[in-house]
Amino acid sequence: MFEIVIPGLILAGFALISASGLFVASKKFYVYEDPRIDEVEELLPGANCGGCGFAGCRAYAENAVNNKTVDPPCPVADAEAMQAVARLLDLEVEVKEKQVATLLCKGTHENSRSVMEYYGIDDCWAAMLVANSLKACAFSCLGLGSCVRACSFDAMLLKDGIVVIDEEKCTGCGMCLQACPKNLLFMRPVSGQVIVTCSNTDRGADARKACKIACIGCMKCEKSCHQNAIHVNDFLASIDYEKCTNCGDCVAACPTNAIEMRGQEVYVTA
Amino acid sequence: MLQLRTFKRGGIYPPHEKLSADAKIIFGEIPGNLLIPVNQHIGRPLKITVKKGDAVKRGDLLAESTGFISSNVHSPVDGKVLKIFRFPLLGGLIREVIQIQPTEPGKSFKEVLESDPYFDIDIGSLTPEAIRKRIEEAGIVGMGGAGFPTHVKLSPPPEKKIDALIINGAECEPYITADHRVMVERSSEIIKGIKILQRLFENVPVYIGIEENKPDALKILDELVSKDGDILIVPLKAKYPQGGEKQLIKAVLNREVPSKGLPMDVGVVVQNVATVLAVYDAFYYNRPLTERVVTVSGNVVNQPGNILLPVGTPVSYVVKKFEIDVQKVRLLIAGGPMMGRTSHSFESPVTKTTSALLFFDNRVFAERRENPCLRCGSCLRVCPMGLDVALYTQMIKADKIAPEAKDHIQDCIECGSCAFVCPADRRLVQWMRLGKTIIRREN
Amino acid sequence: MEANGVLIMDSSPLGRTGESTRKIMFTVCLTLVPALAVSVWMFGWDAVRVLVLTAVFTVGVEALIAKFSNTKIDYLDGSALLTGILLAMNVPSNAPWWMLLIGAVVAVVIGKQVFGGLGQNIFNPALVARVFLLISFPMQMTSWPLPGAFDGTTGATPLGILKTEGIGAIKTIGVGDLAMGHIGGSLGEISALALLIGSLYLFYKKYITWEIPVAFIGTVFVFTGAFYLINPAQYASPVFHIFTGGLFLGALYMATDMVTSPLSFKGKLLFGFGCGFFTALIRLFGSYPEGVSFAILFMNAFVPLLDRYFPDKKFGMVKNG
Ligand code: SF4
Ligand code: SF4
Ligand code: SF4
Ligand code: SF4
Repeated sequence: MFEIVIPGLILAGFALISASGLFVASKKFYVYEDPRIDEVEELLPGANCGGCGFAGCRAYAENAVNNKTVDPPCPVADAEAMQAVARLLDLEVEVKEKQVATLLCKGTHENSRSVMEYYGIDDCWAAMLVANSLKACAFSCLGLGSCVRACSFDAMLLKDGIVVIDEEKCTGCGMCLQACPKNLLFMRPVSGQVIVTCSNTDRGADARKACKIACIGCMKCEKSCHQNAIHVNDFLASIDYEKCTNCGDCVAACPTNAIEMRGQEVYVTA
Repeated sequence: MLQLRTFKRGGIYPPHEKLSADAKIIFGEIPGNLLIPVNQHIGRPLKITVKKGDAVKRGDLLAESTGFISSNVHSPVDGKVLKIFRFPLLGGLIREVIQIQPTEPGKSFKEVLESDPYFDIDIGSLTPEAIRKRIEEAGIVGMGGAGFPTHVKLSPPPEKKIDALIINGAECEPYITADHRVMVERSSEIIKGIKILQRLFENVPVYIGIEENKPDALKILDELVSKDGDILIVPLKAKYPQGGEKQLIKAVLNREVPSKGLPMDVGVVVQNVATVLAVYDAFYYNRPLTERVVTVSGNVVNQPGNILLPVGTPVSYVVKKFEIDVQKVRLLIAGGPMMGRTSHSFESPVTKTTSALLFFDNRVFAERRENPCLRCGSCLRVCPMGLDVALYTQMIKADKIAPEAKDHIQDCIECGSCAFVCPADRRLVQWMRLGKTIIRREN
Repeated sequence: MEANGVLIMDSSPLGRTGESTRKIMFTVCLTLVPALAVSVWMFGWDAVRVLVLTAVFTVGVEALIAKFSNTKIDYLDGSALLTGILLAMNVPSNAPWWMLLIGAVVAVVIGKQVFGGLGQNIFNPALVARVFLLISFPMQMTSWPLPGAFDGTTGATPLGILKTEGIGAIKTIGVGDLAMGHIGGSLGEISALALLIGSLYLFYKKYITWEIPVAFIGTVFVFTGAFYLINPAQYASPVFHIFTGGLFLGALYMATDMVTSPLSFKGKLLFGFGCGFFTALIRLFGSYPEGVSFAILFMNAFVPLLDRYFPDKKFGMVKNG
């Protein structure tokens, strides 16, 4: 039984030594910790997504308590939880509307044809080293899902060569924004239902060649809007959600269907 | 002959496939349409100096440098600026190009070159400053690959004493023969170009490193320099990547460029033969760098050859000139198969750094999927930089790069030896490049 | 100008040597043929039975996992087959089929797939299974059919005899017998020479390198030799030690397993040394007669550390000069 006993003993010995080491260390290096850190951590979502810029919820709680700040607020926690945190620390927090990640591209395989057969690594950043775009449109989503892997809330999935975002599940943490090498994702308030799903800044003719639903910068939307909420810059329309009333006039005016009116039911699970 | 020199660590022996080694450099005609990429170098982006509708002459500036590490771009032909827009370049990057409609499409490019006036300059009267300035103006960049501005490489800070100039004629990539043909056909011009560069560093000895598989180039240059004491021909073993700067220095002088360092850290400046020829042209013909020799080869090319092309020539011109059956082409590589970049458009233009255009069909390229790493260690064995490729790429994949690995990852020269031997078909070079991207993003 | 369909885009390099996972795995399997032939010659049809069953079981288990897993597993890449063959070489030729099945499941599931499949496993799957069987079924795993004895007589291995009956009992066994396989043991344990011949091709193809086998066998030789010199009456000769107990099988085929051995030169040497040291230790002082499997498994656990702390020197790691 020597072979079993000796390694067993060695392991047990190791365990003993490290345990006592840990014990001594915890005694010796014990520092006073504000009990409120634990309380704040309790209130936070515990997703450890990193959306706040800290390394997880505990780090956020430490910063909040030690520096007495809830700025930036946790993007994931709902208003109630955030107010509870603020109350605990005698602070005020401004309640903001929930933000959701939005993809500014509708270059599905059907809308923007593939111009190559890509054999490399399935990662958007890696693909950028081999080709800036896999489809006819230079601005299109690569559809390799770097953002999907960055999302800790399972809110994104790949479909027809682009990502689809589940706005129910999306917490607005913003991690996907940094994960996209093509800067195709942005945050919009969830109540804003009108979206220009395009990022192509090429001239109209070129943009149209590249993708069926491309924004061609024709300005029709700008003219149709009574709220002065949509503007064309660089041959690309964008919406000011402060002003937009979801009336849908621009959606009707757009000749290429580049503007989408999003209802609650748009999301389809694959 | 002398003993062949080489670098010690790693390296591989891919088949040479120098199909066009005996094909004389031919001249084409001015194509009907040129797309001149604005940025063809490493460094600061350029400022475009022309606008739509402008008439330009051969040699006119199209875009000018915006700093020291930057390099001008000129027009190779007389013509008119049609449009400035974004277009996929060779290698898949989408960048700004200046479209030029030539005034005389179809005119023989040889005639164009012959009408350039010749200046019989006196090298002895040139000052180092004047030489650097002229090279900078002419927009000369390293034509062997990366496209680093040549005048920058030739201007080491004063504390770095340069005691050797190495001319890189190794051309270790399979298929490519452009430098080889240049050495054979324009040997005396290369020597004159070297003399100009030699003026920059006092009494610097010059070594021309050439792989043994180019005996004619070795012989011709050897005869030319035999009377010169300070130019030495160094025959090198045909081993890949012999032409890598650090490997070449190790082979020729047995000096090891430190990690993250530059050749100048060991007192060396390396220039590619094609670049030297561009320097010659810049002085004796007052030509900016607007054309280069390109090898056209691959298994669907019936008559592989070497052709002098103006920068901006679309690949489609080459396809017609060499009567390539596009229906067969499945893979278009700009550069060699080891370090070249794939391209997907036949309209993409030739740039200052395009040394070859290779056309292949399916035969060489069966579908390869990435399999799990076996830890077979082949990649470590062949890496000329001695990197633990298998370990680093796993770290990069897991997005957990150990701090001590970061410097090493940045030392990767992207030679491709590792992925060449990997039995699991892992995209090791792409992973290493991704690792560099991640590290750069962190900083 | 349009080609027939879109062009291919991939990262450089675009060429390959033509090596593949399958090629390596099947080559290793093929080089085991001489040793297998010897075992069939010695043990007869029983050896064939064990071999075929184990191979079918391991590949079968892997195929099952591949079917239900959502990651792609190439169960025909030869790695499962190799594990099967190596496992077969580690069991007695009279092992019952259910024992082989258990071994196969342990090897593929616990030895390999729980770690994430090929390339991710820390321990050599075949050895994990062997040790599991050894601990669970000590009876079956330590009574070995004697080669050439087709009447079903069983006995202990030379090392077993040495352990239980002392040095006197092995005096009659000559080196020739050991090298050629005229001894009791598992399928692969018995012919050091045939294993060596097969492995020569692996050395030639650089699928294995010399560091681990040489360090492993050398260390065993030196350690057991030292004790032999001190007291030849109590300890067996080093020659006896290196030809018994599957040391050659372990050193040439198990310790050198690509996935579970270190990558760097120093790492390999240390790994081989460690394997040899623990093998000798267990053999000389342990209660089990045989230590190769335990030693290799033990050292497997250190591979990540060896990789990390004993890397090869990099190009350019020189004093600035
Ligand atoms: S989709 Fe983006 S913003 Fe929404 S939860 Fe996922 S990572 Fe966060
Ligand atoms: S949105 Fe960006 S990160 Fe996500 S799949 Fe598209 S290109 Fe990739
Ligand atoms: S060559 Fe490929 S399989 Fe072998 S260790 Fe390197 S990455 Fe892994
Ligand atoms: S590409 Fe980089 S990691 Fe691979 S062999 Fe070359 S230098 Fe080494």
